[in-house]
Amino acid sequence: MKQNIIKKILLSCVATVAPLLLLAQAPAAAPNPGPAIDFNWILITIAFILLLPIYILSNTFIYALKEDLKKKANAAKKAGAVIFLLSLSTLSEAKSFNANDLPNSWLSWLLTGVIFIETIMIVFFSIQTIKLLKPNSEEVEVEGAVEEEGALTRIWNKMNSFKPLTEEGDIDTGHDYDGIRELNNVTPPWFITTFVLSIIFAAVYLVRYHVVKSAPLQVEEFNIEMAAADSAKAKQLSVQGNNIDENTVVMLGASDIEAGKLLFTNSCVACHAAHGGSMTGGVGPNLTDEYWIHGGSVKDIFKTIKYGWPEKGMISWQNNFSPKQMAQLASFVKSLKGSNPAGAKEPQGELYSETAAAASAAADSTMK
Amino acid sequence: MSLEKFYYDNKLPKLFAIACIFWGAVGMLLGVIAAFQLAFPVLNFSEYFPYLAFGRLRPVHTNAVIFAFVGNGIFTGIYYAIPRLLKTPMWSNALGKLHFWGWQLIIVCAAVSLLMGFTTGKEYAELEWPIDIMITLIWVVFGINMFGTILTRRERHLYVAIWFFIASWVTVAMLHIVNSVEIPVSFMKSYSWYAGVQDALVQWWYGHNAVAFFLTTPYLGLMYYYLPKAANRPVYSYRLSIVHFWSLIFLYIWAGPHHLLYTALPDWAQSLGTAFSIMLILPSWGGMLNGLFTLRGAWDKVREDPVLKFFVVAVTCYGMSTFEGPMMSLKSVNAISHYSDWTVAHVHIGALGWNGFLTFGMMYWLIPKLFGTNLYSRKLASTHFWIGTLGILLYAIPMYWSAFRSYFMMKAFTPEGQLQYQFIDIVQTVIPFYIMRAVGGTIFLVGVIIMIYNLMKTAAAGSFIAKEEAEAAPLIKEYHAPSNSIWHSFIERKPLLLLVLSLIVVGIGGLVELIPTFLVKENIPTITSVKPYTPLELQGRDIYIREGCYNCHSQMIRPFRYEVTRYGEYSKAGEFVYDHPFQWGSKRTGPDLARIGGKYGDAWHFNHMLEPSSMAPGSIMPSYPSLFENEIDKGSTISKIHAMRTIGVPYADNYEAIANEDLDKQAKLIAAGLLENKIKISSDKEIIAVIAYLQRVGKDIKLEAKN
Repeated sequence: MKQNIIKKILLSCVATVAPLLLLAQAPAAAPNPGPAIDFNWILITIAFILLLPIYILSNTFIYALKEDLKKKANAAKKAGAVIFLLSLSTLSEAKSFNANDLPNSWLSWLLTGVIFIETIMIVFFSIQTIKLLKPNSEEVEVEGAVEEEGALTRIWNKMNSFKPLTEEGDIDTGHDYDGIRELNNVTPPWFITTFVLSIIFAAVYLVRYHVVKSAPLQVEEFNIEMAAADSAKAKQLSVQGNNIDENTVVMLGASDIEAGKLLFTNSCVACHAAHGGSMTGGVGPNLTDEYWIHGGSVKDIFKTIKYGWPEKGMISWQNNFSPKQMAQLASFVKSLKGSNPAGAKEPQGELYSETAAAASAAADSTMK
Repeated sequence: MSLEKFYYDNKLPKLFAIACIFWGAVGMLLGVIAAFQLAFPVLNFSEYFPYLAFGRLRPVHTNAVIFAFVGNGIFTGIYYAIPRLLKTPMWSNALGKLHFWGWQLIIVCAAVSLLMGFTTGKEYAELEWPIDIMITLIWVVFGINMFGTILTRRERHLYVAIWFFIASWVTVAMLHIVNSVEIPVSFMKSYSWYAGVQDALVQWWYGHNAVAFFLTTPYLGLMYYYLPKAANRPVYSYRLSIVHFWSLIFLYIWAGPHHLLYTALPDWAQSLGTAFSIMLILPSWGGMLNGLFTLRGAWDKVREDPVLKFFVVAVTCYGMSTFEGPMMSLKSVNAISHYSDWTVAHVHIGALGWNGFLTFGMMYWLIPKLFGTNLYSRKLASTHFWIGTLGILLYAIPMYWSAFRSYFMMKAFTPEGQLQYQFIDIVQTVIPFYIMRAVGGTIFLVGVIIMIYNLMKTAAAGSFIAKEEAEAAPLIKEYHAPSNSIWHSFIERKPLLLLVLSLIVVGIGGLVELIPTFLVKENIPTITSVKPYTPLELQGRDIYIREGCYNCHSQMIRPFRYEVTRYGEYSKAGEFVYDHPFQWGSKRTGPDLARIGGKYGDAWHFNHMLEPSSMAPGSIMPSYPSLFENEIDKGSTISKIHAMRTIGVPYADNYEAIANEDLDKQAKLIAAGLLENKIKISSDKEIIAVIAYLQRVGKDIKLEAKN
């Protein structure tokens, strides 16, 4: 009787936790998703997988308890404790998943908490079962009826519904294929249970994505991720004063030029050569002379670095370098003028001179 | 009832066993070389000839291990086990010999043609159409011989091993034929009939189930024979055999799309792939459980007997892989594992652990039997076991490590929103792991060499038993099943029914996934700016396929921030409608190329193909000097355009007539552009076509954005 009640509670526990775990992501993903999605899913998966040993172990525990019940009067208390513990954990799990508006990091923590509780449950059940089974197995030894079995072996045997080897004859199918006999052991109960659970998982998975649509499909997921990244980026830029663009960039000082040189050495030398003058047959143009294909002011150079000139082979670097770094690079490139390295490439583009540019800029402004 | 006397033939099992071990060693050696190439690009020897570059060698390695090593392993096991399970010799010795020599000929043709650059560009189905036909014919020969044997049997019921052999045979036939539908352009060159998304779906439906029905189910059949034999224990559960056989073959076929998660494949197909992969865990484990539980009461033997030791680790590796696989089919896990070394580790747990160790165990049991003697040295076999296990661990652990390491580097952003690491930084950090992996593979190979020595000594010590006498009563027509027999025993008496049922069961999943993808237009939304390749680009694409670029470079940007930022706009289904075959790839040793068009200049590509590290210092890509010497095969342009039009690429009528003129025009333009950069090259060289192709990839969609 008691055992049945516990079993029902256990089942309902699994039944409530499973869909909760599956649906947990849905409400949380909508308001404030982010990079934590991946991690949460891993946590959910782990939490889900852990339900299995909990179920098996608790069943074994109940089995052991039943054995114990026959002898000890105080077993009822223990059963009460189990119910209490189970309901407590169910409650705590349910609670954590109802919190729709929690930010993602909270969700991660809560999921970690669930896994922690589950782990404790596993340890608890294991220890309790071993404790309960220990005197039994000793008794068995004393009686000498069955071969020596440890507690873990008994759990294992129970889990798989093993038949003792001595009773093998009862389940022999009588098949004989080239000397190979076949027994007809029952399919391990946990095997069937887990198989059913996996089918439920698959069904819920398909329903979530394609019927209820409570989980984002990949493009939606991407849009959410990009929106979050954009707002984080904007915030960062406004805080740091890193908000340099091609209109506001100015020539920087010696320390920044030095920083720019390091970036240049790491990323630019393949096409522009170590000295920046490229070489005959080289991919990039000479950056040390006074001739420029896309303009020679620091603003022009910044723009070239940022957006690139793909049709001419200059790639865009705005996803690799921060605005600050691009400004450092532009300043370094500008500082190369007149370094006149040996073996440099012949000039390409138009002559650019500071004074002429300044004069034409002035002319522009007077025209207006 | 009089007993009939007959003889089991041991010659074919012996031949297949020798072939299995020989090709196994060759295939693994090629794998070790390829592994070292990734760490030390100089080992590509591309200075001297193009044949051994990683892009060509890797398909030889994979094909050798799958079809030569495992293939011959399957046939060894089957030609020995089936006659004994059915109490009759193989139906036809002549067909058996044809099967053996035909299969070896296919392997030689495969190795030579792949090294020469004849490839369809579809993973694990790289062989060109004449070899595809040979495979089909030899597979039919094998089938006839197997069914002839089954139909002339003296054992009424078919044992579970034979269910697996039958299902494997029919499914492999189906997969191979459907995936190899291609239009020949010339001898040894063809285009896949399917394009883009559809080609990808068919290919991975095939690729995944090649794993399922070539590497898994036939080996389960072998396990069901050799494991109880070696342990001398009854099979644990007949019931479990029935449950896991049918559920396994039914569910396996659906899981193919899990190789295409987050790609341009329609969402519903991806979700089916994931859902069925999860359901597949337990049916797969059914095989492991039935194997391991059969050893109940024989574990004391396992500690002693090297054969059983190999079997236990094989079955355990099978269980681990079949749990890991479904986990990798979960989207969030797949985001990490796809394109990474994780997948490489995963397959090698399966190939080295499951297929390798099961084969080794089988050989250690079988060879002494064939030579009527005992194993030369159990100690050496035990040494092999420990070395092999160490090799697997040393192979897998660095790969897992490198996968996670590169994943976290790949997706790292600075607070300002820039990518923290360039692709080349990531390549540089994983090279030490590549070296460790190569060492692991070498150790595994050393184990195999020890086995070869041990088995040769065994054979020398015994004398080969070419024929084994046996006796059994013939089957009588009249049969009344005992009243307590279960429904399934009816199927076990009807091999052809079993064949048809298996085909139906495996057919369902394929049809449900393939048909809508082909027929429902919404699955592949049209993009009007996507146009067919120009003749020069088409020639370049064929060179790209020939050199096996897809072995390291994907052409599929997934919708993740870190991929879109790194490579460009994520890939859309409509972009690939003229891609026969698709080139999405499955592993990124190098960066994705789906938006390479227009990213760099022609001169950059020119220098990069000549010496990759000149443009990307630290690159591990091989150089391709032969592209600068070979001339574009203009003679093939016309038939290529013609073939493409036949399979639906809308080239104008009679475009063949002016195709080569267009080709020349475009080539001269590129050569002239290079000359501006002081690079002198004739416009006839292959490098021009490759540049033209690379500059085109992924560009059409940008045109639409501009319009």
